[in-house]
Amino acid sequence: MFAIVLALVAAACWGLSAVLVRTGLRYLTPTVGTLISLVSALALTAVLVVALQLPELLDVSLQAVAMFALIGILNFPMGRFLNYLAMSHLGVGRSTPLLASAPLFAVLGAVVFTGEELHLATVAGIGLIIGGLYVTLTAKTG
Amino acid sequence: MATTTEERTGIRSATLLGVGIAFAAAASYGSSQVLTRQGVSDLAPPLVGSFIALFWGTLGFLVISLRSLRGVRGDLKTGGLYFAAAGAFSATGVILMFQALSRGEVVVISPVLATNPLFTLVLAAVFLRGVERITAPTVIGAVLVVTGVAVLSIA
Repeated sequence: MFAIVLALVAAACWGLSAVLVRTGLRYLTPTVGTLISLVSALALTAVLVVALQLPELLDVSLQAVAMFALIGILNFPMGRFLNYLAMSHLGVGRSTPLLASAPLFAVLGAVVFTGEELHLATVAGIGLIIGGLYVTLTAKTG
Repeated sequence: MATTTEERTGIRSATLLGVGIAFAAAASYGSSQVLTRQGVSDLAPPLVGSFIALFWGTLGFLVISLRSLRGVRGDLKTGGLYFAAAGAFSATGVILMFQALSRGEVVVISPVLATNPLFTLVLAAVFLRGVERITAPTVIGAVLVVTGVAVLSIA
């Protein structure tokens, strides 16, 4: 139960973050905003990692550094900047469901590149996401 | 106020561009999720991995955006506060996600995490009143996407 509460608070934190970004975009460009948000997230994570897992950080392998550097570059300069840019074009109401469709790309990537099989539930999930995207994109905005 | 054909075409182009950018962002997040799953389980603890990813991501973005950061326009103080808070909440979300995943089963936690667009819409309806209108089809679309992601995560 506690794990579910933690997950719900995590989801709420991301929701709040998106609303703060939408408000921040009224004052700054997505480029500057992305950099500020990255620096603030890095500072918070640095404090926590130094306080809680410094030995593990110092013991990390070169392979891990390379892998997480690749993840960081895919996730932050590309993912986060494009996320903020999309928000500035579409607004938070329409960009958020589009961004939430990321697992669809993960599944398609797994099917194409690792030969993962498609099950009925996977097809149903893909159908629901595509349906939701269609409704979101054709919705009239205020 | 009525919009001209030229204005409507401009709005449509901006929307299409926004949709393309959003899908590119989703593709970036999606591919990094595949790598994260592998990296976190085999190479380093989640918090350490997050820190390394953030460090290189920030450094990479700084290098790429250095030119466009010269002569920053806008309200750096107010906007900076919003973005700094957004970054902190986003990082808190990631840390809580890892904590939740370490205590509960992925099939239970992933669908709960996938509800974040619904929180966004509720909070946007409350705090972005006058900036953005959240309509019924937007909510229905988000609910369908969230349900689809939840189904994918437990499939």
